[in-house]
Amino acid sequence: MDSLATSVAAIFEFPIDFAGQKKAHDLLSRCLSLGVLASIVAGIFTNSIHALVYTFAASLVITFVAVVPAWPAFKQNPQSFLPVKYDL
Amino acid sequence: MFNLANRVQVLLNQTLTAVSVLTAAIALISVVQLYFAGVWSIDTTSISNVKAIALLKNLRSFGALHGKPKENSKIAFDLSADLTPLFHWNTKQIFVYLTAEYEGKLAGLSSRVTYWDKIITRREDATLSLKNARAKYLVWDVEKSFRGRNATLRLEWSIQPYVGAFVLGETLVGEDFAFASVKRKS
Amino acid sequence: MNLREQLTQLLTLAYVFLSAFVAWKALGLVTNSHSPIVVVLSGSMLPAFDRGDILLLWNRDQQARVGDIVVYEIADKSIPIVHRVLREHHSTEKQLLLTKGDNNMQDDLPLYAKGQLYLNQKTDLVGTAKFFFPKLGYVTILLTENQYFKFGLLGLMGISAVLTSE
Repeated sequence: MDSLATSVAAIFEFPIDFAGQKKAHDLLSRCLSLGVLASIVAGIFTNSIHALVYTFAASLVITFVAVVPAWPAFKQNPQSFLPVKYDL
Repeated sequence: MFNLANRVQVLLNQTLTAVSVLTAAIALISVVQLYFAGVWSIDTTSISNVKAIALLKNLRSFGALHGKPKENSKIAFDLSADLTPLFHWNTKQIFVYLTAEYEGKLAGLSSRVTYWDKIITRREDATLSLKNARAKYLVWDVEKSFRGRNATLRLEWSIQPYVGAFVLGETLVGEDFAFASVKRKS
Repeated sequence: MNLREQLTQLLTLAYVFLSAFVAWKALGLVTNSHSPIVVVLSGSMLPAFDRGDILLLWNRDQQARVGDIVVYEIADKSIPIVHRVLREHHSTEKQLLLTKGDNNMQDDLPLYAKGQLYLNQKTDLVGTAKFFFPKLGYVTILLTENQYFKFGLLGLMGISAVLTSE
């Protein structure tokens, strides 16, 4: 039961390597902060709070697409593990 | 960040923080905008031609208790006001209401009652011009009768935001009138 | 998973729930209200408030103002009502209020207890609404009223608990 669950979970894992993780995290923070600022500016200049909401929703979608899928750009530095050695 | 679920989780957490920042920013900026629009010193209001009527009512819904009739007050008035400065990007609606403030029997006792109110949802509707408008509500006092006392009518407002803090205020106009005495039974 | 891992998981879960509880009680202390966050349940204050809107309450005002939006509970009934103050009569120690919902034709007198003509500001009020956030509370309404949502959410939680090993 446990191994079935782990193998099902492994299908949905979509891993990225460590350098990619750092890149993804930085991209996430920057995209979201930019989104917040852009939303506030959009809202004030159009004097409409709906502009703010839509701009923020758009920035959320962009961030999601940029960070969540395992893009090849995040897999440029794969971890090189030592070859398996049997010492009997 | 190593797997999909983790990335979604981090995204959701950061989104929560972002939304809190946005909320705080909107709430703060709105209040600052109101301050610069000078909404706490609107003096373009005019309340005039106030006529007061007194009625005796027997129902509990008009303040009558234990079968004793209760004195109710009603007014007619002219009102003109310009409340457009109250509308900004974070204004969902304005609640405008006409209040009468009067003293009680002893010092320190005071009351404020609402005769008329209106909900304004658009900036275009924010200029009021009423002639001989009748009060929406009959008002009764916590005492048995109004005793022909004097009261001050004021136009007050309350801004309901899309998100943020509620803001209340008064316009800088007060009109005095005297409560009528009971002349006829209803 | 051995016993130690399972107990550690349980402890982490307990931490999450307890810290939420402590935060709620702390907010109640700061605002002096026993229910500092209220979800609007009825449409009696439309178009200002709709079901699911969230209000943050403050209960340290000396006296309420006409036009304030207050939350009150009638003596024995535990349902909080969110309405606006229509009239107030006060002395230096006590204040009596009459409330009315914006979307209601008449004031709240029929809602009060038998023989009660006014609300007592000190004892009947849960707090005055100071801060508003739209629609976030709709999740709680769905949870309590919609059966499909409740089971769907429990199902999702169950699936994620099985699929993730942490």
